[in-house]
Amino acid sequence: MDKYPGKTYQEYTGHKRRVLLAIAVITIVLSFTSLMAGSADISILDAAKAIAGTSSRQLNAIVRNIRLPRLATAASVGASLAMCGAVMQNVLRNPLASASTLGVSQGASFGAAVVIAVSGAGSMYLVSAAAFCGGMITTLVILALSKLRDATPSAIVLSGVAISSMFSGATALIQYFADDEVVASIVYWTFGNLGRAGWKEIAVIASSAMASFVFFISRSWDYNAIESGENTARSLGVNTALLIPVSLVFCALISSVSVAFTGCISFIGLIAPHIVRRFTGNDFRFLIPGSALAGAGLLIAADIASRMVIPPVVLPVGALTSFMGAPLFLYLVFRRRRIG
Amino acid sequence: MIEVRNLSFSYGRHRVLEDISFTVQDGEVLAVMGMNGSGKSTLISAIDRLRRPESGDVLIDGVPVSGMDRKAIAARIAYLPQRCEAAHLSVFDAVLLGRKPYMGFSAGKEDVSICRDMIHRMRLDHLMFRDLDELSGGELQKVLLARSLVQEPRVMLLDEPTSNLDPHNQYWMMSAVRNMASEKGIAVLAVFHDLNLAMAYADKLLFLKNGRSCCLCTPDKVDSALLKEVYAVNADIAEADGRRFAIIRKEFTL
Repeated sequence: MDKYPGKTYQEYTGHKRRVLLAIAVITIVLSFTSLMAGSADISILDAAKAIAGTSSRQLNAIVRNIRLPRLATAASVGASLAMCGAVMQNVLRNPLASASTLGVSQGASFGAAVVIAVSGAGSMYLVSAAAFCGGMITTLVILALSKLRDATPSAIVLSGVAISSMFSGATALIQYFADDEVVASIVYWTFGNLGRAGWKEIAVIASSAMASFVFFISRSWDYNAIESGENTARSLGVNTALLIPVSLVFCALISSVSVAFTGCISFIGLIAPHIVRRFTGNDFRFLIPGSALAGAGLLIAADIASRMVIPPVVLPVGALTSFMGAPLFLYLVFRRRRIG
Repeated sequence: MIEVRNLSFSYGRHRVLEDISFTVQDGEVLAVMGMNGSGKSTLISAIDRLRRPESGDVLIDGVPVSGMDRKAIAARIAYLPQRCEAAHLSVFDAVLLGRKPYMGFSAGKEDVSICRDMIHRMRLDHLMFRDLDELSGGELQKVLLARSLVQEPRVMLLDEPTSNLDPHNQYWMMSAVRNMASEKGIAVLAVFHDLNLAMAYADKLLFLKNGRSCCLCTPDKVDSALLKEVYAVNADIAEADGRRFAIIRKEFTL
């Protein structure tokens, strides 16, 4: 029996748990829809049977070799980008921070373009490694800029815009001087494609996402403290001098790995945390798992849309997320201005 | 007990604090006074090691703060900043953050129960699941005080705790600080601009001028000459209701 009347803290957090559960259920429903949707019509029962390997040979092949890896890629990349966005928005004290708005994705794309131009698109791992380096270098530049004494949150996002356009320009220059085949692979690569990763690559994306998730969730109270400002967090015992760079390195890891294997997928990292924040507030105990689930759900939904809009054509999912994300981005910018 | 020994601090070549020393006993309130830019806020943040002092040290119950990590400092010193970003976080979660130095990965039942009691004591029950960014200045300040208190500190550093508050909340806030300090034996350092509030609630006043300690005295030793030296104003000291008040003369012209 509680000694005070009214709602208890346990009941209050219980509500947030139910929000997470609801997002999880939506994401699971979307996952099954994704398995069923496409040029071959598959019922939910057939999809389940095919996963178990007990359906017809053709259906087994479609589900297990094409749709399931695609789904797993969408889920793990969506979750990675969304967690990255949630944490970057916190440690850089900017609601508009994410891998794509700060130029981390563009840096990774540039790294990939350099390798494709020099050695052709033959070695996927070499391209991925270069993309990873590009993303990491951009993160280090952002981190260094954020340490400058007069670096305001808006200055950081403006720097991100500058860095993105610099990398986009550099990528365009590479394309200008490259032959047609190389240009085609670079363009194809920057579109964002969920069908490129096999199980081995999915394992890499998923394991880096899991490792980052464990780190982020273990530091969720630290991120809550940073919400009240860096000095307040330090006075509450948070070692921000270590936490902020380590968090950004984890962000760079998961966003670069995602970009490396699937190309540029914008806006998921920006939108997913903002949607979840409306229901859970800035409590990172719920915001991190919620963003991961919502990011996975959003990218799965975008993938379903990319296959369903003009069947049998599969539209580039990166183009679709940008198309859907931009209006929401504008909404966020203007809503903030009204409040401010 | 907190002992500040020969503390100095510079921003680059600009010396902001010069050789500051004083002691505050358990349960005692020290008001840090002085003009804008005299180094008051810098002194508070240097004591909490949010800024690294150039020389000198701070001892809490005889143990130097310079050898402690952030978590150990947070278990001893609570800091209430002048401006706090009103996060999109509930009042309860914001108070729970005060338990951060004692938490492992998450808040335990005991942490929740300590915070619930403090929320009740600060009369915040009706607001506890509201977000900080929906609160008024006075309510937010109460939440921050509650958070500082659940930190179970030995020392509390308050940077202009009453600057955004109406008279009711100013006196409520300082009475709460005063009571909690004596009840829990906390040494309190508070930056003030309001001379009369400082004289009403502080045991001692430390006047800073250009980063140097100008005078450390009890409220009954504050006189016109001191106020002239520190603030460059002509003031009279009056007594009413058994208390001393500074009345500053209107003599500025443009």
